Amino acid sequence: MKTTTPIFQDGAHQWIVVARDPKRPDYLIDTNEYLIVDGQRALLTDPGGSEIFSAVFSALTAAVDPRHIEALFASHQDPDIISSLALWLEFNPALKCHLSWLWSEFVPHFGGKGDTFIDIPDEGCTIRLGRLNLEALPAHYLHSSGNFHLYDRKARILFSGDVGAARLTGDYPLFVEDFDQHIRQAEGFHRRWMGSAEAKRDWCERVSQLPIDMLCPQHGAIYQGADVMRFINWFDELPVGGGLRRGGSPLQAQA
Amino acid sequence: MEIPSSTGGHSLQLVVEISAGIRQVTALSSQVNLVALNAMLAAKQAGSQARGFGIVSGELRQFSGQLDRQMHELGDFIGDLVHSVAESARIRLHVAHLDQIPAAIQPHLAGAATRIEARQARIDSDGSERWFGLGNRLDHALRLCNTGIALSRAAKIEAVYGQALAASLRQVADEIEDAIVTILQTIKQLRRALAHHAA
Repeated sequence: MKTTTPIFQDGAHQWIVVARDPKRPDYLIDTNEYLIVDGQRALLTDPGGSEIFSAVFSALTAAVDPRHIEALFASHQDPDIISSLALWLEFNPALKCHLSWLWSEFVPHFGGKGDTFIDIPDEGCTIRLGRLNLEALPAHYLHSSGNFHLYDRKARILFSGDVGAARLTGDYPLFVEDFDQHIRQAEGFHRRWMGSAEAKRDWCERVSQLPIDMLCPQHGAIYQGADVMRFINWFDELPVGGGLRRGGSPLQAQA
Repeated sequence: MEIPSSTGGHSLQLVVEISAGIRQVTALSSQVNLVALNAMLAAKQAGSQARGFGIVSGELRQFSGQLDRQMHELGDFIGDLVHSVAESARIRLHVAHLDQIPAAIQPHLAGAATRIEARQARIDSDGSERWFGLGNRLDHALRLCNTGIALSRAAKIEAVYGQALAASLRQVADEIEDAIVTILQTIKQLRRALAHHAA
């Protein structure tokens, strides 16, 4: 079973990360889910694939009341992001899913009907959760062509989807402890999965203007404090979209 | 495509209810542990007259530790149960997809349908065993709570011998008994919800 860890609390306003599944089969990439809570209302980011629904649901249920989850936020359309949708709807058919308009006819293949989805326009939007205004920030082509991150200005936390992700193995810490060592494990992922240097530069410029205490990716460890800006600067300098040129096999860039 | 029945949804709602009960029991058990620890210290100060109260308080702390362990194991068990429920829901989705296929083509998929049915039967059987196992574990917890109630009543009797501290020891014993009675009621309620679900 995964475990839940609160990473931010200010009164009824909370961020809880669901991470690290020791029973996860080695053919599935590990994922982080973030529960944003305001009192009795909650939103879950990138709830994960159907294969890990039971691990995520069990972990959440041990810590909070999942009946408070009123919405899901899907950063993009991939199966590790949202293929558990049908199972979440089984639990709560009234659940809403915030998602780029681009994928509104694709993701229903995983479950849900027209009224399940709340389209996010290309320029982004504000998602209201209780007294919180969460900002869906455009991150198109990083890596999906319809891609959003979620910024909580009050908590100064950015959920960054696949940006900042690292494919780590073994029992690794929740937060980045040694940036230089960590970033080596993130490099291949970013070179191959992030396809547009223009989109990357635009994202780095916008995000560097925001006060961010934690940058929370969907895979790997969380960046906090000075490591947030270290990551943005590193990403800004990183040549992307060149994964195919790195070696004999295109997939070598993933490692 | 919608999952044809909402049995998985009801099962998950029950899991949530049971998990909330476990959290409540764990919190009350911690309270019993803390109050019993304070009672042990108070009994030590009171001297030989409150020795029996001190011994019972120590046993109440052991009870609290056992209950904590049972609740922790129950939490892990529930993880497996959710897995069964989710798998069952996924299988029903596959079946619903296959059912959409025109009857004339269905014979071509007979092999797939047979494999899916066999898998569904296996998962449903595992699920039934797990729900049954959950009932057994709740019954164990109920028996443990009855021991806890007996201990808290023994503490009330021992409080009488606390002389000058008798009134305050009695108050502590009442507090422990109240907490254990609430734990017992919570677990009974979960047991009833489970029986209702099974019916």
